[in-house]
Amino acid sequence: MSFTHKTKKLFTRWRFIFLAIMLLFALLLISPHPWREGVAISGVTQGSPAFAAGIFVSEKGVSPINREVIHFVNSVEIKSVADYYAAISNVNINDSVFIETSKSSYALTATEKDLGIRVTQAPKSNIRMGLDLQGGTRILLEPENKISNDDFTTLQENIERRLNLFGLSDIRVSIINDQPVGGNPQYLLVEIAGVGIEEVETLISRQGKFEAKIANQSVFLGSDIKSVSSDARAGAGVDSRTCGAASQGGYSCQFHFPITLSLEAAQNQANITKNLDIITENSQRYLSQKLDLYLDDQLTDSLSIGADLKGRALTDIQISGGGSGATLDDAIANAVANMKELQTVLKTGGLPSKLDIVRADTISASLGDSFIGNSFFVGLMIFVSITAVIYLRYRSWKITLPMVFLSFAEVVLLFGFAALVGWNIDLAAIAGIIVLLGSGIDHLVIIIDEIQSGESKHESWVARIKSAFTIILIAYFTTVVAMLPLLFAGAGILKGFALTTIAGVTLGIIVTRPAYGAIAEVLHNDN
Amino acid sequence: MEHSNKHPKDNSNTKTSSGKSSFGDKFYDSYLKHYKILVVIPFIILLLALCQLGFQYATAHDFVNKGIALKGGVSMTVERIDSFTALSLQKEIASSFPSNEVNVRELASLGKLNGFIIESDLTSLEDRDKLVSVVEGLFPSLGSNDYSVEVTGPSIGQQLFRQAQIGLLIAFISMGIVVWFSYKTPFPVFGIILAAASNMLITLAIFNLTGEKLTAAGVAAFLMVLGYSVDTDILLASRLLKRADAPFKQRLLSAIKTSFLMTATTAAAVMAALIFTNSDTIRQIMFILTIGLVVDVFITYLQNANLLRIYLEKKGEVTVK
Repeated sequence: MSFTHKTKKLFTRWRFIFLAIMLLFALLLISPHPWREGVAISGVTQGSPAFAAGIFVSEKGVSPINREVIHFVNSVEIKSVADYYAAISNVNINDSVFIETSKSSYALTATEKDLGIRVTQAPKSNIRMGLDLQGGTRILLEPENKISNDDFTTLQENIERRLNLFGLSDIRVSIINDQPVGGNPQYLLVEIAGVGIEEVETLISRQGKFEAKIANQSVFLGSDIKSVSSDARAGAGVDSRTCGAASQGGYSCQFHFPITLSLEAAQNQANITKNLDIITENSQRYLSQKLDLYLDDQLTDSLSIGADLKGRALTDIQISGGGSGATLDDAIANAVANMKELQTVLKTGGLPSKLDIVRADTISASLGDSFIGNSFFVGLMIFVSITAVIYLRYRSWKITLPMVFLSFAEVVLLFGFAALVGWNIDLAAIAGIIVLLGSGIDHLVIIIDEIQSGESKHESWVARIKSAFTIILIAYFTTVVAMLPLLFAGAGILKGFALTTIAGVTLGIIVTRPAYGAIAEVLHNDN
Repeated sequence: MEHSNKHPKDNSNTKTSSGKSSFGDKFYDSYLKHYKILVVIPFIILLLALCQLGFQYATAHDFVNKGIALKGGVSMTVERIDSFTALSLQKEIASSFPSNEVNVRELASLGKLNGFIIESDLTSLEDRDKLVSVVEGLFPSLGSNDYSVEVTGPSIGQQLFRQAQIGLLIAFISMGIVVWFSYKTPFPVFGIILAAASNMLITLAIFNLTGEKLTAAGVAAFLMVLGYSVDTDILLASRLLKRADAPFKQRLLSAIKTSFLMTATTAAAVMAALIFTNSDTIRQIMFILTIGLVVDVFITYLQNANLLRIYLEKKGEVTVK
């Protein structure tokens, strides 16, 4: 039978058509764009110039390929993250910045040097890459006290909000339950792509218990704060007049921002202040006691209360703090960072419990990049080696090529599934894929050998296929069962391996093995 | 008929068409003849493995050498070499942490040195920061984007290990159930479970002897060893138990050829990855799998095949001339 005749016959077999359709579907889901350039917007800080210009990142549900990508900054083409940072380093305060993206154009005014846009290299496909490949931070948190399931949900939402407010949207906060059946959740896993650990460590783990006291009497708590302003026009920011040389060397600067209290809290404050005396200091009149601000039981600030506020219910208060650094710029930057962190913590409120960091990983992006490149190379080497082994055994390209093709088709299907489900591919998942390539072909070997040995005994085709598939199914169940514990163990650190293996063999059972049966049938039934 | 020409060589007869025995045939005959001795060998090796594990437990209070992720500690991967060797870097760093264990390994692929992996049993975040600043001091060109740091608290590592052990037990039991439902006779089930267990224990012992330290990824590798070692044993059992239509010798030989090919393909993929990868995580997984595969060949043919043969002979279903 000629090759074209056989190929046509192949397409009449529904098992093969099914495979072809699934492969096409998978490729559509993966949506490969290998020549894509530019940087994707992964987050926008609230109150930043970018935020004011209307740039935002929608919360969830955008596939990587559909993210907004910056192509031009002030007409300079942006191809990489380095390009972007080079372009904005030339921006001065009050400059206009014109940004063109895949979706729209924006005009920004640089009210501060940091435009507030976080960027990552534009994704070349819909496959989400885990932190191992992308770089980022992964923190596993354990509450110090036992908290309820509801509290865990509050914790999760709170931390997500904190990170979002801070301008980080490429995040994943998950509640981890170690026991597969029943049991209470125990950990919170925070994964943030493209960010170093110093930036987020304190932000996340800080309990944020805020309390204001006068002479050790509680005046108001964090929950009494109705609003926190980050608006520069309302007076929020670093006051450059307060910057000066610090006594121990270096510089320090002060920041302040206004907050609004609830009426009850303001009334409470009035009740306390009306009993205080008035003192005079530097020809100014103040109340005898100060307003002490405590964050997580540590005194962060002591504010003098003006005498005219005695007995008055005041809802607007200014919170202040400071930052320091080796140079003036460092001090300002530090003060801004501290201010933003405090604002975020006050806006989101305190966490139900103090959190311990039980695991903290920072993975570098460049290491991740080299892993990706290397993985493709390893894939090629595997292709060469399994082809060699199979050919050595069967000495026939007719048998070898379809087998190898199907092994790789399985991997494509797996990636398609990963893109659909929004899975993160990490190094453990890649290891799972490598093993899948080698062991997936085992099942095809079983099919071929059953067919051939059955042939010499003149068994019917159906019987041969059936016995092959029985063996394969048993092997399938044992593999799945061996992988199940990995789904939960160790707060899910090896989930990637388990998921790719289970999904891979399942897709194999449903799609590629039957397709191979069809291929083998066409190739061998020449009569 | 084009049939026989395209048919790959089928040497189910031990004599070639010319009537003379080849080396392979002699080897196979010898294998068949001495099966009672051969079946004992895996048990001896298993015993040795158990001794190693027992010794390991007695001296180190653990069945396996644990790495940082399982014991707790800091692991820092640096993509720089400058003028350091693993040893010289270790000395430098250790001098800043006199009361802690500091270990430096090479990060290499294809024999080329790419960087270093620094491990220590420091567990607090402040200590981690100190380690990072010490390393940054030693590598002046190091930017914050050029290294990775992982800190694991001791309790979570222990949990992972404990859970993996429980998981392993559950996997064994579930596998036993699946196999039981497939073959419904106790002996093959026992044989497969024994083979899988022997495979795992011997692989573990060999791993210990290499001096490598187990990471979280390594735990996954061991579970995978369990998964596919069962594949070859299941194939063997199916071929030998279900098809009584050809002489035993023939069935066994064809089963051996199939399962050997299965192991060879998996080994090809795994070893290619082992040689060419630049990730330490993948490297350890592939390393353990390679050991597991080699042990699997051993166990399947010497132990499982011969045990099944003894069982079938005792049942009177098989006589091998």
